[in-house]
Amino acid sequence: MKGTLGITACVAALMAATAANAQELVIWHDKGDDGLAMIEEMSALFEAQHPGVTVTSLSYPTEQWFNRSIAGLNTNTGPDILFNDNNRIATIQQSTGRLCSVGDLVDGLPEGDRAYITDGDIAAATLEGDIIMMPFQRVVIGWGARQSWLDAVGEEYPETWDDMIRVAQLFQDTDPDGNGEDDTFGVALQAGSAPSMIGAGTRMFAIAGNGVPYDIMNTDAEIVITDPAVADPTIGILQLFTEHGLVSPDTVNHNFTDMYQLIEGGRVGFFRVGNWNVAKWDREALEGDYVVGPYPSHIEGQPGHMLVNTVRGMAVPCDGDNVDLAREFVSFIVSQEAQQASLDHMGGVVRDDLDISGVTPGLTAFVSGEYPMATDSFMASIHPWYPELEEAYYRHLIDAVSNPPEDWDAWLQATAEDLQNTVAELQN
Amino acid sequence: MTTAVATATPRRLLPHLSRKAAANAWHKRTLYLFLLPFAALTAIFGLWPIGQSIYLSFTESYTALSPQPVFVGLENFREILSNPDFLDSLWRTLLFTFVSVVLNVLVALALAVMLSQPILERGRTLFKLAIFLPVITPDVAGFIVWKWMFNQDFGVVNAVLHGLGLPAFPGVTEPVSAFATLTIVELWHHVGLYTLIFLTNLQLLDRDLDEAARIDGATRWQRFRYVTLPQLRPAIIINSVYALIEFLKTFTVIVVITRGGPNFSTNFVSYFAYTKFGNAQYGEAMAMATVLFAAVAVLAAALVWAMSRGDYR
Repeated sequence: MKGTLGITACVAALMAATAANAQELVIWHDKGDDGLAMIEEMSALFEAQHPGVTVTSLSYPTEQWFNRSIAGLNTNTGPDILFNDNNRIATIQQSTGRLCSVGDLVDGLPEGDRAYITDGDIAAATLEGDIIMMPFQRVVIGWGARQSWLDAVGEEYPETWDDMIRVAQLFQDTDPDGNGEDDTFGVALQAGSAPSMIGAGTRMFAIAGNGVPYDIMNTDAEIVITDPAVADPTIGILQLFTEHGLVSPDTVNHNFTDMYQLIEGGRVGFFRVGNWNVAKWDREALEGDYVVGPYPSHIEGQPGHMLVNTVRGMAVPCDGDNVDLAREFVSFIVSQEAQQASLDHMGGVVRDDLDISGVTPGLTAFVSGEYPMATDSFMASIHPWYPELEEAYYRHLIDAVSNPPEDWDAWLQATAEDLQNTVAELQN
Repeated sequence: MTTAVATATPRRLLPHLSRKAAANAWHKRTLYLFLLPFAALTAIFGLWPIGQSIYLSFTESYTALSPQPVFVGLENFREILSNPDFLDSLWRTLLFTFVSVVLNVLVALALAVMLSQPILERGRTLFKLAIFLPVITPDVAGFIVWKWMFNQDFGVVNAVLHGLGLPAFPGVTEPVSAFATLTIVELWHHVGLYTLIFLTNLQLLDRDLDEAARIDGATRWQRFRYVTLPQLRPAIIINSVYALIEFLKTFTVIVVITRGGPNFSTNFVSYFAYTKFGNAQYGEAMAMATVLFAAVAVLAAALVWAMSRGDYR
């Protein structure tokens, strides 16, 4: 009896001691199953270095993530870490002001890790001078084409805009899928909102295609849409809807899910490919029947680029229960082993010293360094009102689709003047 | 004597009335006891959120969800009411509501009159079921099917039009047709309920009045216009007010089918406010919701007042 009591007491004491040492970090994000799996693997790696520490994550739909994060941080009921794209983390900081600067952590990273974080990553992670998240995943976007359709029309992957228009016309007119029906489109775009039409459209062809640093406004708050390197792709995209008619008519209301239905349904020849898409498209949906490359350029002799569109990172709320441990974890995510988990599960990383032998063919184009990479200017990090400028610009763009102007250059000039006035109002 | 009593009554009777009311309340204490939980639930889940959302419309967006929201007075209202996009959205909402209320009430009335005809004796239940089914169909499921039907690439609407040699209908790809499309879809979704209310009222009509008018030589139209329609006035009021409230708040169909487009032609106030949440502009979003709430309350009250005037019999 005495022995039993003793053993029970020992077990209870052991459990109590374990519970006292056990710590749990909670991360909130909107990255679904891929994000959950990545953090689960990172947790296992981190726990090996920090016994008794577990890292768990919860994935919410984006809108819920916003509302819960803002409410949670404002009422001290939030998570230990927030994980998301830089623009979303910035919105949380603007709404709460409760994310701690991690600038000291970035500076304090081991040299072997710090070297992989570029100025572009830092620009994305910064809001009004403060580095508010640890950047660890670049969201890279390229331009894709159905390989079997290229073969069917006897064309190569296009390098210039004019080539792309010509091939897209063939995709639309010549039944490249061979089903005997007139049911294919040249290009997949989305135009149902400002992020759709600008972030996933005009910006891609200006910054990635033509290699210019800005697509609407430069750092001096001057509107640049009349600059030929920006104007050409802007008008070109609008004419895909109007004169060329190379997009599905429903595109005017499309967001990314509608666009994916067209792409994955095998109804469109050219489309945007993100490094987060390829894992699925290599194994199902497109079953690898696509080729990814840089965005076609408008400028003679200048190669197009892929684009670092956003940078994802982890941010630490100042009022969390485990701030020190959370800061240790966000430093850890740039380590080689954590980055390998990031690559394997989500396709995005900041390091280039990882083992890419296991990546799928589609992802290879993003991590091989084969194509030049342009980086977004992340103007919202400098001017927090920038999304409102994009909203104003979107109204002009979608109106031009509904009511095509006779003189595109005059329309662009008038739009630029109106946007410059909007900038003045927003600055005030 | 009478005058003296009349002038003295209010003050003298007040204590008596209070005592009587108190006694009456005590007498019905069991009833009030049973009502109390529901009154409390209504206050917590009905009135409190409305009050809270109105309160938040007076706070700064970035602090709206914090423990100490910053009070900014009417700033959010000034902001939205000086925004031409919001005024455009409000105008479109009112136009859509007007068209939909008139269309739904008229179509429901026509359907109810048709369904009440003796000639439909055998198939009436089937027709009633067919008309009422959309009301109980889950919103999102029904709207997704409509979205596919109007799809320009493979939608059945244009396939049928094409088969008949008619020009294609642009559906939700052009501003005017998108507005029309939503009107059609919302008609499909709601008209069954209004029809059922009219049908019920038609069964309660005083047949003697109709018979008397017929004997007096009134035509069928005259009997409907001067005998049937006045008796349906309560149902017309109920349907109109309910439809007004429903269509001013139109939201789900926009989220599923158009997302406010194309070119903001279906960007009604509920959806516009919703998009503000995505940018964490809570103060402005709540101000829009409050304006909509006020519009619903004022217009519904005005409609009830206007339609209830006079004796309809």
